[in-house]
Amino acid sequence: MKLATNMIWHICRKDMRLLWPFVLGAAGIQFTSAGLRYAMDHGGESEALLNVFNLLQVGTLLVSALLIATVVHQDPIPGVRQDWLVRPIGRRDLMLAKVLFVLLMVHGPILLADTMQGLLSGFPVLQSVTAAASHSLYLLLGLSFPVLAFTSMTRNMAESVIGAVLCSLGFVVFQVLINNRRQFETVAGTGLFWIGESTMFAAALVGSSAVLAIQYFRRKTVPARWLTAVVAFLFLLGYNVPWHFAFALQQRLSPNPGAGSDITAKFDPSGSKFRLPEGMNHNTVLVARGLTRDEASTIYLPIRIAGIPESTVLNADRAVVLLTTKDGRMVYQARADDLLVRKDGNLPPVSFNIGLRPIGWREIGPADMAVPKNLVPGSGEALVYQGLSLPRNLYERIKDQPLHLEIIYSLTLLSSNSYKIPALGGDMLIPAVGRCRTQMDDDGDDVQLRCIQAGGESNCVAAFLEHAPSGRRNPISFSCWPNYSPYSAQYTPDSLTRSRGSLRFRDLSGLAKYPVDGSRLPESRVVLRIYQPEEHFTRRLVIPEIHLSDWESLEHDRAVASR
Amino acid sequence: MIHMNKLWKKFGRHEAVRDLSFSVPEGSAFALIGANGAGKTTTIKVLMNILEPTRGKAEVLGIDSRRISPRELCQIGYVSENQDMPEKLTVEEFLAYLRPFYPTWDTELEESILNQLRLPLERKICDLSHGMRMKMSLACALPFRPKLLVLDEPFSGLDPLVRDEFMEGLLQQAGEMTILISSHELSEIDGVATYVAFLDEGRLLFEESMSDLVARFREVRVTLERNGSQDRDELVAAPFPKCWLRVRSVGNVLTFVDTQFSEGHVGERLRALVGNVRTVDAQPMALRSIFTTLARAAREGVLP
Repeated sequence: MKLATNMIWHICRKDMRLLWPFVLGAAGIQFTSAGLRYAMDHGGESEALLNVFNLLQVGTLLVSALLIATVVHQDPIPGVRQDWLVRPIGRRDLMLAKVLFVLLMVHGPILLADTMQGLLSGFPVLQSVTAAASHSLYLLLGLSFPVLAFTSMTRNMAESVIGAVLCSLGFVVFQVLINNRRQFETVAGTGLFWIGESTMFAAALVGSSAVLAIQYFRRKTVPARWLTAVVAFLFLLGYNVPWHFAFALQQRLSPNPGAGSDITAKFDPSGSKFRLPEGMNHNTVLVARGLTRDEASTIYLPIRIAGIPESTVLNADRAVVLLTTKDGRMVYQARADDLLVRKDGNLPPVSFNIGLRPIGWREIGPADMAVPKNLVPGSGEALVYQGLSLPRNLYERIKDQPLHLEIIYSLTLLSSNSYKIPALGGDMLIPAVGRCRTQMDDDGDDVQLRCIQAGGESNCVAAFLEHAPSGRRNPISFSCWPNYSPYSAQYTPDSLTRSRGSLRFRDLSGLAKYPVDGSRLPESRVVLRIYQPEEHFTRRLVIPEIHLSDWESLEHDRAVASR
Repeated sequence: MIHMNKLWKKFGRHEAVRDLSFSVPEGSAFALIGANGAGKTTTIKVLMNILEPTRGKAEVLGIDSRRISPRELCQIGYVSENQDMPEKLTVEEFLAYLRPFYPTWDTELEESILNQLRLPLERKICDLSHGMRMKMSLACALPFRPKLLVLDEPFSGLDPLVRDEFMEGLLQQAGEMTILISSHELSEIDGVATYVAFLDEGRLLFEESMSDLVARFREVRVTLERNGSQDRDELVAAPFPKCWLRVRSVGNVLTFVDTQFSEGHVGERLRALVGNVRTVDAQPMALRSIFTTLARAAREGVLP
């Protein structure tokens, strides 16, 4: 055993001796990147610095991958001319020596830079080391190990690069095909993505281990390449893990089962037709990333949601709508709008969102909508609108037919904890979001809130300025990108998670006035509500008979006219 | 030491080695001879478990070649003209890297070999000439006193001086070790090999001891009594034995290579076939001539 360990170290040392300039270069990029990030976190952030940093981020990953490929190619597996093949070098020792090199020379600097960043940012040693180790493990499973296995099937760097390019092309083609067909069924772009990611990582780990074993112990490159193709397919299937499977698993992991048991969702035909808030129109409300949707074939169904607890967010991770004709023929099955309902404290109105997260969505707040008269304040009831956008041709064909409509909601109830931090010069360690600081921005119209967390990630955050003596509040700034992952990890830039927001207190044009303005800032604080999941559950909403045309928005005619 | 049994190696449809069977006795210097592409290197790579046989079996040191482990490789030295070594290491660093892998590595022997081969220890492998690389390869294969030394085309591209240095270095350390040497150049193994196997297009044409080979090959020149054109026609059409190769007649002189020569036997057979024989002159053949004769016969499909 001791001899084997000695041999592993001996081979690893040989590689270190050969590759030390490369190792130093890679570590240099890693530490420069970490230093730059630290400078931006704690000093100013200019566009030039950000550009350099972004370049270094890509460089770090690329150089790590190249270093791994280079160390593997010091003793390549395919081929018949390598010197190591005729030496009494244990194949297990050789493989473990390469793994050891990757751990020490690739992950060592990453771990060190991450830990230093955590410590310098004021986090305790254990938290800094844990977050750094978690980041390193994530990179090991998601990058280093697959690269190690992949390059063990290639003779040299040129073969590796060509192989990587071909694999990337295959990945893109596969994704395009899958996305076109099954987008609404997968976890991509939702808080459940970690399940797909874990499946991918499991496939990558098992596949990489199998490939490494085949290569180092059997030297069977052709079977290993076939196995890689199979693993890549499973990897991509992991990315497209079926929604129902993933949500069922997520439900079992609910931190507080039963928390959402009182929540109901019912169609309320007594609700008025939906009207976009003042100042919005169908062309601008949902535009993002260059995509628009056709408001002329979009309907908004009034949904009465009851039983929402105080200061919570009800997030529809997925709403799938099924439309069937009277004779039972299904005419449409697709995603409905990503509905999100937010109940702010014990105030009666709620906010909700229309649109789709990946394409663009918009919060419709209490100020935008008239409160329905039959709602009881504080009852936890809300009238919201579920957007449903259909292809125009289909809509024109079925809009006046009696249809059976069913919406299957996959919901998550998130509860909040509130934290208060001085509006100016605040510096506080807050669970889930980490170390938060407040300061006035350069224009003098916003309070900037910056948080750095070692490890964990928050799901949804609401923040507003509150004047402590009077209790006056400015409008809430709310951000919600759910991620229900039990672990925290990201490829770049490091083990720290950063979040930031701006809270306006002054309108530079002078048109709007804020309850908490500049003069009240010294006595004001930023109130942060950090939302974390309580329960994941499903609800089914059935409308036995509906005519879609009855629920066109009040802007529908304008949308039709503007075609 | 080495035993091959009906060994086949295919690359796609190409049969590089076909039905190869031979044995290398312990303590022998066994030469694997053949033209380029005859299958010598493939055979050696199968022996070293660098390639897997398609069919058949090869045993080295009593172990199936597919199961050769570091334990066996500790006893096998390997030198090849096509060996990829860590180019950026110096000669000294490479030797230092190899030492711990061989429990029997003798540093004094290493020093003496290095002195004899006059290798520049501080120079990087990538900066060595071809001859230097081969000498270094030999210097890496001898200090652990291998039981078996495998040399794959070791002299290819070496100038005579380096070749002599290489051979001296090799022969001084040879001792009891078994040597398997492949070459397409017969003069290189002359005086070294005690056994020889001849490969052609993946097939073994023969395998025997060098002394037997040299003893049974003779270049025979026969002068006949008669000299008519009719007689000459009869002579060419005579049913010569298959072990006579390259049969030619010019005037009353008949020449051929006897591959099964035995004193007195030639004269008797000649008299039985062509009548009166004036003189028979049988000369021993150089290894190179034996090799070319066999190679031609193999290509013409008249190999006995």
